[in-house]
Amino acid sequence: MNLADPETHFAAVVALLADAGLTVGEGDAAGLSLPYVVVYLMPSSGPSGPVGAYQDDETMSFQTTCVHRTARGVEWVKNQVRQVVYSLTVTGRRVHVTRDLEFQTSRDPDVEQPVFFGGDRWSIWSTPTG
Amino acid sequence: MIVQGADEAAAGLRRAAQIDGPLRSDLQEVAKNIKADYQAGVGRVSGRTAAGVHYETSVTAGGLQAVIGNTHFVARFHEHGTAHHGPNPALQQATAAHVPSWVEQVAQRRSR
Repeated sequence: MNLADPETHFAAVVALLADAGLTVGEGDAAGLSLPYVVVYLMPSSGPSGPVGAYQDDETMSFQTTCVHRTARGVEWVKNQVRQVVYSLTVTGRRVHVTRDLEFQTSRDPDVEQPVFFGGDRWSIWSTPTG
Repeated sequence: MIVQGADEAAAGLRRAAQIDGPLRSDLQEVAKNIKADYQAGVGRVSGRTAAGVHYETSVTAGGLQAVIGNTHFVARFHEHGTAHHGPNPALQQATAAHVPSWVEQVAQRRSR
């Protein structure tokens, strides 16, 4: 068996976004300066490999929440994220990234200072190389 | 006038009618189960988010369709999170739990 480790994939996404010059939160927005993107690891849909190696392939899900002072700024961050996420690589794995849905940019109702957020939900299909 | 393939088309329509009736019932059952799981998965403070969950099924040009949503405005903030709060993807999880069995049901109906 060659199981997919969701944490490894999550870390690869975070590193990729940080390398692109974005301020990245790992499941937590505390202490981040605008603009930023928070990556959330979502519940996995479980293994989906072929018979005989069912546990090897896995589809994982994550969300990128982009935050900026303006709605237009959020769109800029979302675009930056999209430019790099498709180039995700994970050592020892072949991965395929798809964007499942986009949630609309809106004003955060929890804060008094105008802050806008929006983002995408993604799937990573992962299988061992070789 | 002779319309070639009319018999096959008629047979196809009869077959589609035999399949679509049960499929629509199946879909309604799936949507009902997703609704129940979604309601169970949302947090309960006022109960308004759970009460706002609804579904409807319909026949469209593209085929059978189920729409499951929420009429309470805070539901989207629960599902996707906000700038400072993480997502609680209750609808996504409820859907993911039931859609595979629905796909299997469709395959079984069509292979009969």
